[in-house]
Amino acid sequence: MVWLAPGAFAALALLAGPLIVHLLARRNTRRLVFPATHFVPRSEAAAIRLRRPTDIALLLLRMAIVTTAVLAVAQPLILAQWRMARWNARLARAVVVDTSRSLAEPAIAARLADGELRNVFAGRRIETPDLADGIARAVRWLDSTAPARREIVLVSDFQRGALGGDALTAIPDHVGLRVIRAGVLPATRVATSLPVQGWRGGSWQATTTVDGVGTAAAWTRLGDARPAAWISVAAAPAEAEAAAAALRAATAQGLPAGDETRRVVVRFSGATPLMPPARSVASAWIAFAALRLREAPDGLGADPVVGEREGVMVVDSPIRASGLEAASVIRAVMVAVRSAAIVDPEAEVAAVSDADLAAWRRDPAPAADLSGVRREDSDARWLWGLALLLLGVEWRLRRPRAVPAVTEVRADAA
Amino acid sequence: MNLAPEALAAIGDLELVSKRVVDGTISGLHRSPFHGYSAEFSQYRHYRPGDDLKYIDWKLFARTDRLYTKQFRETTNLQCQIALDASASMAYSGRARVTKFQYARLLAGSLAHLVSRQADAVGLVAYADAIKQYLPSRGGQVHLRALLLALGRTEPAGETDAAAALSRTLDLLKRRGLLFVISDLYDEREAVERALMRAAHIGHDVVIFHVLSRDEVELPFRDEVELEDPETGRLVLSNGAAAGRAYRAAISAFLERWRTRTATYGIDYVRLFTDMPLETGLRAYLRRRAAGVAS
Repeated sequence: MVWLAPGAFAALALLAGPLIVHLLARRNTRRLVFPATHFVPRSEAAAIRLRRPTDIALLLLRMAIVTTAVLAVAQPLILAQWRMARWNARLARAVVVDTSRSLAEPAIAARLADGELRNVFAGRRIETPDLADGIARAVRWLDSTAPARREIVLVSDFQRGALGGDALTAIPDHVGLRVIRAGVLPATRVATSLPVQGWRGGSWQATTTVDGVGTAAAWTRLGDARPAAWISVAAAPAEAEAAAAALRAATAQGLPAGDETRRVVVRFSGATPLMPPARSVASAWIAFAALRLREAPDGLGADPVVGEREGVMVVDSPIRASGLEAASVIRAVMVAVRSAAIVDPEAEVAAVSDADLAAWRRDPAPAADLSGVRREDSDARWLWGLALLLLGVEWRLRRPRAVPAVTEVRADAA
Repeated sequence: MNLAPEALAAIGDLELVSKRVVDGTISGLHRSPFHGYSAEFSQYRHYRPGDDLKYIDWKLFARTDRLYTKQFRETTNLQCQIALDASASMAYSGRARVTKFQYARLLAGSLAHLVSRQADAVGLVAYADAIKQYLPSRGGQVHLRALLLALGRTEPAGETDAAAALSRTLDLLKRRGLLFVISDLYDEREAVERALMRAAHIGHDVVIFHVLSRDEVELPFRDEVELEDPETGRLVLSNGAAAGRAYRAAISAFLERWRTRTATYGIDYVRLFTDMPLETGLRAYLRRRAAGVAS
């Protein structure tokens, strides 16, 4: 037997209630006019004072009522064989459907998913372009389902790199896993990247061809690069030239295209203070950029401080513009703001092999996880019934009983 | 046919009711059970130790050399006095619908009717802590009606001082006679006993009708109750279930003591419960008394 709400046992302190009532409470007495009071033994009870419980049976009965009620609140669940068999006979299944761009036939994946959701005790379809995210959501949902065998079904083209080992190890051992391949990847796929600004003073676009042999990229010059007006630097007046040189050096390595409205100011040590000063970050894109900047490789001298002023990202670096790391700082900020990869991962044409997929498969374990048990599934109702029955007995005992009929007394003459 | 006490009590006309009870009671009795003392010579009987020496016929002793006591028959009728307890405790009815006082009043009226029917004199003393009503014993229908009227006006109230009231009654009685005491006898037993003993010693024929409610023999409750004495207002907290056995033992001892003590003094003791038909108890007693007189 398990208790779904063992915290309720703290309420056993209520057992003191009936005891206190029996020890201290004033009895509700009726008042009767009775002429033969001289012959009536006086009760030892006083109005309110400590005394021994006078009706042990009633006291025990009341304590039993409280105990039964507390046990009922603690939600007992008897793990009987019939119950375990019933749980094991049903299956809760979460179907994670890959909706990434690489999937050639999304309709086939959807149909396969629908088929998997038929004839199950509980099922949910989770559509996501990120299988790892889908698995995490599936695990959370399975945890919330009623006790049953649990299983995750992955429906995907299983493009290589789409699913990491971390995602698979996040699946609890008792949850089964099946994989269904939905369609095959093309033999060759060509992807065009976003334009890269600034490299060799031009604007370049890569055309990547991926096939079973390897990856080939061809760069095409689209025209001259436009000045990177969205990023500017500020430094001490004596180091203005050094700051401009650092900006040119950072831009010369090329930049992916991005939203031109997202403006950035990199301020080096000695720059004129901003009035009003930058405040804490409010815009989401600045917050994401700040996180990525924190993950940038070392070599920035010291961690820059990110702020926001009037929608502009303000990066305060403690180094001087003439320092060796100045260009690296500007480059790190640029990459953090415009982080699009040059190569589209969805262009991958290699897939996880069938042998690897078969190795991932495992059957769901017998139902043992009680995390999804609802309170109404517990056996508390029997205890509530017993408590009510005891209450009835207590009421019956408390009710004054009729005096038995007296024996007939005949007229007696001495 | 016997009528239930509550049915009789519901009838307001005490004269009618008492006559009805008496008619029902004496039917089947061959002669009157009550006899007065004679002032005319009746018969001789052998002297017994304790007999008054003045009643010994010395001339007969001289002739026969044996002691005989003279017995007399009174020329006047029987003098009968009814002492009715009208204290507050008599107002108790228990689960019965008739109070002890209603029952006792009916009994007193019936006795008065019975005695009056024999052309004897009857009087009434209603008492609580003092005498509330006093009618000297007289005969005649007019007096009987006055007595029944006085009975009807009497209501139970106040504490009991039976000993004082009975002593005062004995002082008021001019001649020996029949004294009916109708009470629940909840008083200082020894004092009441002394008063009754005195009455018996004087020569009164004393009859005690001990009127009780059935609930006074069995405690009518099993839970814890506060009992209020109707005379003193004294409160007793008691548990019926726990105290029942001790109470019944105490009340049984009380009743048994009265029975044995009255027997010791030659006093007739009749116990009546308010749920008994009055004729039944009265007739049983009168039959026994008639048999005793005959013997």
